[in-house]
Amino acid sequence: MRRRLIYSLAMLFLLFSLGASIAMVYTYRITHDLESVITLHRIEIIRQNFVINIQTVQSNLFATGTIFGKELDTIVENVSAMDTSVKGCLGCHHDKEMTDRLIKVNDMVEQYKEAISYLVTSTANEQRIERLKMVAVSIGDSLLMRTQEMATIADNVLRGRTIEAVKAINQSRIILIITLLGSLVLALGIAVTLTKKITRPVNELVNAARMIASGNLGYKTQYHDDSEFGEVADSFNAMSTALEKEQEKTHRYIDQLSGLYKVTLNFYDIVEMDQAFQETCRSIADILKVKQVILFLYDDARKAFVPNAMAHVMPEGYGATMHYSLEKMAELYQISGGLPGVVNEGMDANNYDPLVPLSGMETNLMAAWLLTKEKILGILRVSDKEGGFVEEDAKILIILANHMAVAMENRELYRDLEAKMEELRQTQEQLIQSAKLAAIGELASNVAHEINNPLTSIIGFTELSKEEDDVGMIRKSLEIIEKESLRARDIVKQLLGFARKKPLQLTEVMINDVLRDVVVLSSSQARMARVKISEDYGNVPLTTGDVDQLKQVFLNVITNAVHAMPDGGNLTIKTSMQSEYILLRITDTGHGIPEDVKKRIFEPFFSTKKDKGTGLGLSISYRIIQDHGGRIDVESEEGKGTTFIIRLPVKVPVETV
Amino acid sequence: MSLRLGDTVLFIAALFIVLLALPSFCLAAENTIGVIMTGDIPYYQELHKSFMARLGQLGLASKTEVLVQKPYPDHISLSNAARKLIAMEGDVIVVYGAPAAVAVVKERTKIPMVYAAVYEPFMSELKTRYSTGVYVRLSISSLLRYLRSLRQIKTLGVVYSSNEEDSVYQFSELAKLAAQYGMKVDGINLKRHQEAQAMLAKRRVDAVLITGSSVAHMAMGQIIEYAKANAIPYASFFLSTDARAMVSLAANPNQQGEKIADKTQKILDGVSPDKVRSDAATEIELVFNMKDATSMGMKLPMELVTEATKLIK
Amino acid sequence: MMKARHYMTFLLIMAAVMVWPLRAWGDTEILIGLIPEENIFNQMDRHRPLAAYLSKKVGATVRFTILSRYGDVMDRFVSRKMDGAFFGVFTGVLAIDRIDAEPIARPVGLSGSSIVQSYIFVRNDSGIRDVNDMKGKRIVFVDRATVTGYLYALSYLREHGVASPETYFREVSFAGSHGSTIYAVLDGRADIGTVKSTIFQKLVAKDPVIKEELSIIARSRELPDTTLFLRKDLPQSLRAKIKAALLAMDREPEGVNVLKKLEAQKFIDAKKEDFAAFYDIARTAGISVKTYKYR
Repeated sequence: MRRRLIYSLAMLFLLFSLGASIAMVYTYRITHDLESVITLHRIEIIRQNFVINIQTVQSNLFATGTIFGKELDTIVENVSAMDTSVKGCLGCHHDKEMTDRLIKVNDMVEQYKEAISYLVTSTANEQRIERLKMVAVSIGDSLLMRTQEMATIADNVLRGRTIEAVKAINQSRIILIITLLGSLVLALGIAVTLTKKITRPVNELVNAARMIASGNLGYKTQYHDDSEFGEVADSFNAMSTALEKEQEKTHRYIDQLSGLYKVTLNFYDIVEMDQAFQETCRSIADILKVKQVILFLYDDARKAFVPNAMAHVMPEGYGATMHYSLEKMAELYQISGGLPGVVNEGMDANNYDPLVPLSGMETNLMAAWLLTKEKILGILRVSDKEGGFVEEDAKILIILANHMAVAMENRELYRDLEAKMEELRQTQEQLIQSAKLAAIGELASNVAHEINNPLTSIIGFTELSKEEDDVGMIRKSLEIIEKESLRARDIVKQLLGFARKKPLQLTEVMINDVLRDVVVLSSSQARMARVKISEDYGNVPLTTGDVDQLKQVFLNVITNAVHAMPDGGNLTIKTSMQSEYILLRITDTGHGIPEDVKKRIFEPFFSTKKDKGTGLGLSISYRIIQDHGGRIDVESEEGKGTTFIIRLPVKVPVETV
Repeated sequence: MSLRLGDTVLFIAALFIVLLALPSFCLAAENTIGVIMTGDIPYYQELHKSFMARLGQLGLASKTEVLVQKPYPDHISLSNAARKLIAMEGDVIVVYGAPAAVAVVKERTKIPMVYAAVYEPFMSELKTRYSTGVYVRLSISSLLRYLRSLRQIKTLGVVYSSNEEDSVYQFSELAKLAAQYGMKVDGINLKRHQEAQAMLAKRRVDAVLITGSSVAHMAMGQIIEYAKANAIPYASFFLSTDARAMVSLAANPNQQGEKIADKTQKILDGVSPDKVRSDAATEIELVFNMKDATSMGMKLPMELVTEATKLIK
Repeated sequence: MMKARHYMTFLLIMAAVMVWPLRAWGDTEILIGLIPEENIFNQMDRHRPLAAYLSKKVGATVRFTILSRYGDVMDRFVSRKMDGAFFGVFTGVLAIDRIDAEPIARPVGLSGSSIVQSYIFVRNDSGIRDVNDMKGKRIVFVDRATVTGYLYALSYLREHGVASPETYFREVSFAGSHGSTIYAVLDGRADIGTVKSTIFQKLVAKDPVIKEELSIIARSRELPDTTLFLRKDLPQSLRAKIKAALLAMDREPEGVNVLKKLEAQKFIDAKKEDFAAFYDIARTAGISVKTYKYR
C-alpha cells in the first residue's frame, strides 16, 4: 500500500514537475525572448547613435574646406564614440552571426580610424590625399551600409523574436493548462483508487473493531491482502484472539476473586469463626476446584498441626490419624521460603513429600502456611485438583492462607479487647460511685458548715438564757436565737431551692427596668463600698421571663461585683442587642477571678467569700438563666476586673415554661 | 625624311642581297628587329606595344621590320625562337624576360641584343659585349609585406616555373624570407599553364604569390579563380590589365618599352651595345586591386592603400 | 536642527575655501594642439588622461585638439586661438620665432629617449654609399615642414656639394609621411629616403626584415623630440604651474599612471637652447626660419 501510495505520489509529482519544467522552459524562453527584444531595442538606439556619428564624420570629411581645422576634433570624438559603442556591443553579443558581423564592424571602425589617421597625417601628394579621403569615405559608407544591414537583420530578429515570444507564451499557456488538467485528472484518479484501497480494509477493520467493542471478542476479519492493511488485519485477528483468551482469564479471575471475597467475608464474623472455617474450606474447594481442603491448626498438647476444619468429611477415622509434627513443618517452612508447597502428579519426589500421608488416595496436593509474625498458626492444605496445580493456584492459596491467618489473629485480638473492655467498665463504675460520694460529702460538709454556724449561736445563747434571769437579757438572747434560726432556715430553704427546681413565673419583662430596680436596691451598698455605678441601657425589646428570679440573678451578680471591689471602683451595666439575644454586661474593676476559680465559679457551694455567702448564688443564677433559655459567661483578668455576660433570648419559648 | 643617293644605292643593294638570301622577308625594310617574348603574356605585349610606339615616334617604324616570336616559356621553345632569329641575321634581337635573354645569350651570337624586363640578379649572365637593355629591381620583401598586410599567412603558396630561372630565383628568395617571418612555403612549380587548376586544387595556402614566371602569368585566370574561391590574397610581380593580381609590384612595361626603343635606335645608329648603358626600370608600380580585396571582404591595409601607385577601385 | 544648519554652513564654507584656489583659473580653458602622428585616435586617447591630470593640477581646464599640418601650422595655431602645442623640432622653432612661444617640457619615451635624429637611408642592393652614388637617382623626402624628413637631408646634400637637388637627382618627391618614405625606398619606388629616426626604429621593430634591406648612410645631430610649447602671453604663473606639474609627474603615483598611458617615462625640462642644432642645420641648408616657405 505504501509503495502504491509512493508510486502514485511520485507519478503525480513527476507529472507536475514535467509540467512545471516545461512551463519553466517556456517562461525562460519567453523572458529570454522578451529580454532580447528589449536588448534589440536598446541596441537599435546604440546603432542609431552610431549611424549619426558616422554621418557626422562623413559630412565632416566631405565638407573640409580648409582641410581639417576644428572639425578634426569632432571627427575624432565621433569616431571614438563609434568605437566605444561597437566595443560595447561586442561585449554583450551572443549569436555567432551577430558577433561576426560586429567583429566586422569593429574591424571596419578600426580601418576607418586608420584611414582617417593616414589622411590626417599625410601632408604631401595631393592625389594620394584624395585617395585616402576617398578610402576613408568609402569605409564610412560601407560602415553605414553594414549598420543599415544589421538594422534590417535586427529588425527581422526583433520581429521574429516577438512572434516567437508570443508563440511561446501561447504554447506555454496551453501546456500549463494541459498539465494542470492532467494533474487534476490523475490526482482525482489516484485519490479515488487510493481511497477505495484504503477505505475497504478500514471499513473491515472498523466493523471488526465494533464487533469486538460489542463484546464479540475473538471476532476475525476475513479481509486479507498483501498490503499494510493486510498486516493490520492479521494483527487485528491476533489481537482479537488474544483478547478472547484474556477475557476468559479475566472471567476466571473474577470468579476466583468473588470466591475469595466470599471466603474472606466469613472471617470477619469472628464469633462464628470455627463454623466460618468450615464454610471457608468449602468455598476454597469451589474456588480452586479441588476435592478436599483441610485447615490444620497447631495443637499445643500434641505439638503438631491437626485438622481443624475441612470442606468434606474425611473417611472414617482418617482425620484422627492425620497430623503434621511441628518439628517437621518448621523444617519444611524453612525450605519453602514461605511459599506454598506443591506435589503434583507425576512429579518426582520432593521436599513436600511429608505433606502427603495419603499417597495413593490423592492425585496431587498443595499446602500454604498460615503465618503471624513468624509464627506458624496452621497449614491450609488443598488436594486433588484436576489437571494439577499451577502458579496461579498457589497465589490464590497464599492470599486465602494470609486472610485466614489475619482473621485468626484478629479473633485473638478481639477476644483480648473484650476482656479489657469489661475490666474497664467495672473500674469506671467504681470511679463514678466514689465521685458521687465525694460530691455528696462535699455538699454535706458545706451544708453542715453553713448550718453549724447559726446552730452554734443558737446553742450558745440558749445556754446563756438558761442561766440569765434578766428578762431583757433573755429577750435579747432570744432575738439572736431567732435571727440565727431564721438564717439556718434560709440556708435550708436555699438548699431546697437548689435541690428542687422552682417553676418560672413568666410575665412580660422589660430587662432594662428590671436592671434599674436592682441598681436602686444595690445603690446604698455600692455607695458604702465607694463603688460608682454607671448604666448604659440599649434599645432592648420586651421579653418574657420570671421577674423575681431574674432580679435574684442580677442582684447576685451585682453584689458579687461590689464585693469584688472592697476598695471601691466602677461598676458598668450595659444592655444591648446581639442578634436574637439581649446582651447584658456587668463589669467591675475589682481584683478579678483566678483561672482555676473561674472554672468552678458556677458550682454549688463554691465560694471564695469566707463568711459572706452560701456558695450557691452563682450556681442558682446559672440555673435560672439556663431556664430562661439563655446563658451566663464570665470574662476576667486578674487585678483588672470581671465581666459577667448574660444572654437572654428575646422571647422565652413556651415549651421551656 | 631625306634619302641621300649613296644611301639609296646601298639600300637597293642591301635589299637585293636580302631578297636573294631570304625571299620571304619583306624587302621594304631597312632594319630588321627580331623580338622574343618569354611567353605570350599581356605584360610583354604591353611592353612591346610601347616599344613599337616609341619606334614610331623615333621614325623607325616605317623602315624597320619587326619579327615577333612568342615561344612557350620553356627552354626548347625559347632556344628555337632564338636560333630562328639569329639565323635571320637581323640587326637587333629584342628580348622580353630573362629566360628569352638567356636563351639568346646561350647561342653566342654577335647580333646585338636589347633586353627588357630582366630581373636584376640575372644581369651578370647577360653582360656581354653585344647586349644592353633595361633590368628590373624588385623588392621581393615588399610584395610579401603587402601580401601579409592583407592576411595573416601561415602557408604561402608560391607559383613559379623551373623552366624560368628568374622565377626559380625569386622562389628561393621568398623561401628565405618566409622562414624569417615563420611562414611555410608551398612551391607550385608550374611548367604548363594548363596544369594550374589541377596543381592548385589540393593546396591549402593562405595566400598566393606569383613570381615573375610567364607560365604562371599565362595561368593567371585560373590562379585568380582559385584565390577568389578560397578568399585568399594573391600578389604578382607582373602587371596586367585584364587578369590582375590583388597586389602587383612591377616595373612599368611602358617605360621599359620606351627605354629599349631608345637603346635599339642607338644600336641601329651604329653604337656598339657595350657603349649603350643598361639601366634599371625606375617606374616601379605598386598596384592594389582594392575592388577585389573589398569584394572578397578583406581588410584594407592603409599602408597599401597609401603606398599604391595605382589603386583599382 | 540648528546644529545641523551650522554644520552645513561650515561644510559649505570649507568647500568654498577648498575650491577657491582651483577656481583661480577655473574659467580659463587652455587649448593645446597636437600635431597628428600615426593614429590620431590613439594619440588623443594617450593624451586625454594628461589633460585631466593637468586640469586638476593647474586648476584650469586643459584640452587637447588636433593641430593638423595642412597649410600653415602657425596660422592655424593662431586662428584657432591655441595656448600651446606639442611641436616637433621644425614647428617648435617656428613657434619660437614666429609666435613667441616658449618651450616648457618634453616627454621622455619608454625607450628612455627624448631626442630624435634624421636618417638618410637607401636600399642595400642600390649600391649607393655616398652622395656621389646618388646622382641621377630618385630621392624621397617627407615634407618641407620637417627637419628630420627634409631639412637635414637638404643640409647634408649642401654640405656635400649638392646645391640643387632638383637637378642632381633624377627624381625628387615628397611622400607626405615618414612611413611612406621608408616604404617608397623599400619597394624600389625611390632610391634614397630621409626619415625621422623614431619612425624608422618603430618600423624596424615591427618588421626586422626592413633593417636588413635598408642601410643608413647619414645621421643628423640629436634634436629634441616633441616638445610642449606655451604662448608667452599666457600668465607666467600658469606656465610655471603647468611646467611644475609636468616635471613632477613621475614622482606622483597618479602622474605615473598618466605617463604610462602617454607611453612616456617622464617629462623633462625644455628650453630654447635645445634647438641649437636645428639652427645649424637650417643655416647649412640655407634657409631662414623667419622667411622659409614650407607650403
